[in-house]
Amino acid sequence: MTARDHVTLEIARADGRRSRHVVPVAGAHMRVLDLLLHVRNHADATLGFRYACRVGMCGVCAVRVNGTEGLACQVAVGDLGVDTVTVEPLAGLPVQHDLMVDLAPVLNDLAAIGAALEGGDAAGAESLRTLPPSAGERPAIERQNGCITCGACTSAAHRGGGAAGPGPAALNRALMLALDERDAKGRKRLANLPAMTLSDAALKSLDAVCPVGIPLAAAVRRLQGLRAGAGG
Amino acid sequence: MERASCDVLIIGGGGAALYAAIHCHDANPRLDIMLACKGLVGKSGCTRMVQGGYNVVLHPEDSFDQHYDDTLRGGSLINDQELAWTLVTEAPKRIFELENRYGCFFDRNADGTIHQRPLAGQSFNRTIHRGDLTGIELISRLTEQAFARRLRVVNDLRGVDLLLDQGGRRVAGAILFDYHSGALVRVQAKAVLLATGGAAPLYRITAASIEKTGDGLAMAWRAGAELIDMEMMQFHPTGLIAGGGAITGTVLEEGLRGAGGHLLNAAGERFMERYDPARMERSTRDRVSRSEFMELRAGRGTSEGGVFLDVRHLGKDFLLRSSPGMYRRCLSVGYDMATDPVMVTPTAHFQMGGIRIDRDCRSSLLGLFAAGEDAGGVHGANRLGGNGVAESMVFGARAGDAIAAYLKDAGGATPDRDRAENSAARFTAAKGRAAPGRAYELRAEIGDLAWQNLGLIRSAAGLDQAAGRLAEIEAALAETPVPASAARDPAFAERLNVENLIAVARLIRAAAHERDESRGSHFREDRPETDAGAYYNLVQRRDPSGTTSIQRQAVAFTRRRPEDLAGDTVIAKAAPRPALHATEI
Repeated sequence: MTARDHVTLEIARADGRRSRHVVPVAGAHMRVLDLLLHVRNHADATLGFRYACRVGMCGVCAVRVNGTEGLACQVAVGDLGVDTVTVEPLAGLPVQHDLMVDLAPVLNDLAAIGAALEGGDAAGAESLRTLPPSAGERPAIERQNGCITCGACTSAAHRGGGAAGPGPAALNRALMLALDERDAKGRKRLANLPAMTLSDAALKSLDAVCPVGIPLAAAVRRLQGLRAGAGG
Repeated sequence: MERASCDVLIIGGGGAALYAAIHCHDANPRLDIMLACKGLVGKSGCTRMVQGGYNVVLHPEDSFDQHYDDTLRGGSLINDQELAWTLVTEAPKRIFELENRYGCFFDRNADGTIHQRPLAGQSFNRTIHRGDLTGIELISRLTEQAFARRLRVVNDLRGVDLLLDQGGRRVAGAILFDYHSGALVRVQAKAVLLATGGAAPLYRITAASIEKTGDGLAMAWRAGAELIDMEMMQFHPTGLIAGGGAITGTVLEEGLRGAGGHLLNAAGERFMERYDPARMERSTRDRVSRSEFMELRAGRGTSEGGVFLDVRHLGKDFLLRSSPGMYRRCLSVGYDMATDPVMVTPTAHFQMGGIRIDRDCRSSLLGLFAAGEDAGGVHGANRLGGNGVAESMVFGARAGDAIAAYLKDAGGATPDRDRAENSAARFTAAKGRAAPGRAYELRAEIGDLAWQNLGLIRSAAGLDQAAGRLAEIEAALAETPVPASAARDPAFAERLNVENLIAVARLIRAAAHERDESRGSHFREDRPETDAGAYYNLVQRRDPSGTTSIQRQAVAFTRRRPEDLAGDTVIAKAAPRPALHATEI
């Protein structure tokens, strides 16, 4: 941690310019979100950015900080260890206003591949299944769970040269459902699922940027394996 | 003004809104449902932030009666007894549906049975959860189910005012404001559901999602709907203090206190000795929060306005095992809980009061429904942990079903043109003497005012003073400009926020003044006793002339009488499985 009491914040703005602001840092634990709020409240009332929960649970404040995806409410300024902090909107998503992007494509990706449980005959059951947490694929499903659809992986995949198609978050959810014994479609979901074509390095970058630590590269690989098995 | 129409307009983007949309669609797939949210549908609101879990009777040794009695005791017996009974008896149905139909998965015991954890104020371990991220599981699965149904979802489109018919007693749609175009959109709808999530962020320090600014409450009030018990606002005793950071106010789970954590003032004294020597830190949320506030007011807090939560003696192993998420969160702002006391503050957490509804979420205006934190009455004077998200799921579903049933017979109403124009008038471009950014300052000012005068400790004098300050803030807000184009103008959006917060603050102020007793989360230092013989709700309504009336209405004891629930109002009378530590959102 460094003990800078000011940093220069450089923000990519809607009109293509970059605004620069010298912003006080009240402590090394101050977040990028705190800097953005400072600019908006004291320097430029028009600065556009999203935030809601401020504890890393809603995922709307995802941006690129010094080039790398992260949640503005979680990235601590002191951890960056630099004097200039650059904040840009996520890549690969439509920019709406300064740092605000349209996250609808992330959710639409999920809808496009039908990524929602289909309960089948058991959907109306008035009881809960007995499902030991260590049995079958349950641990594997739990490992992939917790996505906050923030778009960080979409952005990283785009930068890594990922082709159009369902993003990593959607593929991860498809995997969870394919493994889920409760889903009526199960592995049949995999038949028409487009593959994700990313280099190993780009796949690794997905794991690095996921703010909730989901092993996305493993998900993509497991999907490939399942598809190869299912198609045979 | 742009125009649109639909059968059902749902305003909000959290659990109640999504649940309603899904149920309404499934009840009648031909209905044209529009889901409009000031932020992003599925990402706004507080369902997503739930840590603790969802209270539901599943165990054979538990019962609806026990859950119900806990809920009424927790609410100091002024809950709407029919709403509370609905909450308790329908909570299991929603859990079965969430798991079996929508794809949620809740934590299991090693043998595969559902895990239920203890929470404060409950006589049985009945809270189901998914780790300490229950809300993400709920909202993610509801969002994907809503998207799978191809509903019309519009983000960044906030509610401004309800449209009424000429008689003024029937809702005919709403006027919405599009952040991106800066235009008003007049949406004609046969039914409107308000599910925007209350106004805890009125207060300077809050645990809730900051974008919630009482929009639904203010819209309902302006339209003349009845609101109930608006004075009832819950404060959680352990909000994190993180310098001047935005993370300040977010909740550290109650389990830390329940497990034996100490609360210390700046001098290192366990100050609960002064306020509740029998229960100390394990006392109820309202008392502990109030005690902290007393310490701060007496000058025994830290220079940053906090006290300390000291859990060092519990040991690092225990802390990592029982509260890994909290441990990480504290570490990320510079406290190692195993070696450092953590600075905490009371934090505004949940609004019990809200739009008065019946079991089918119908408000007092025809065609207007409310669910989730926008609705009032379920929790009475204080909410139990784990009952909040249950409310959103149960009443969200009911609202969806009830709207579909209502639309079998009901047609649309014709919006009254004059009212619509009146409501659009405040969007007419106007130069202001203040800078646009003044709206942010005024938000901070109303937050301070609410904290000091409408918060944990109230008095007639403080409430009178607040009336004057609110008028000043309103006058100052009127000096901020209304831009010719309000497209993508966050300062103007904040102006709309503050406008609603002023409306809600006035409702809270008036109700807190009228309730000249202390009960649950409402404490009047000039009237510190609970009025033992008088159980009433406060109902507020704005009449067409603009005057807001307030009435005391006796609680209808349809299922329990106070003598049935004698004894302590919050701590459980008997605990089959004693709660060693409790966890709350």
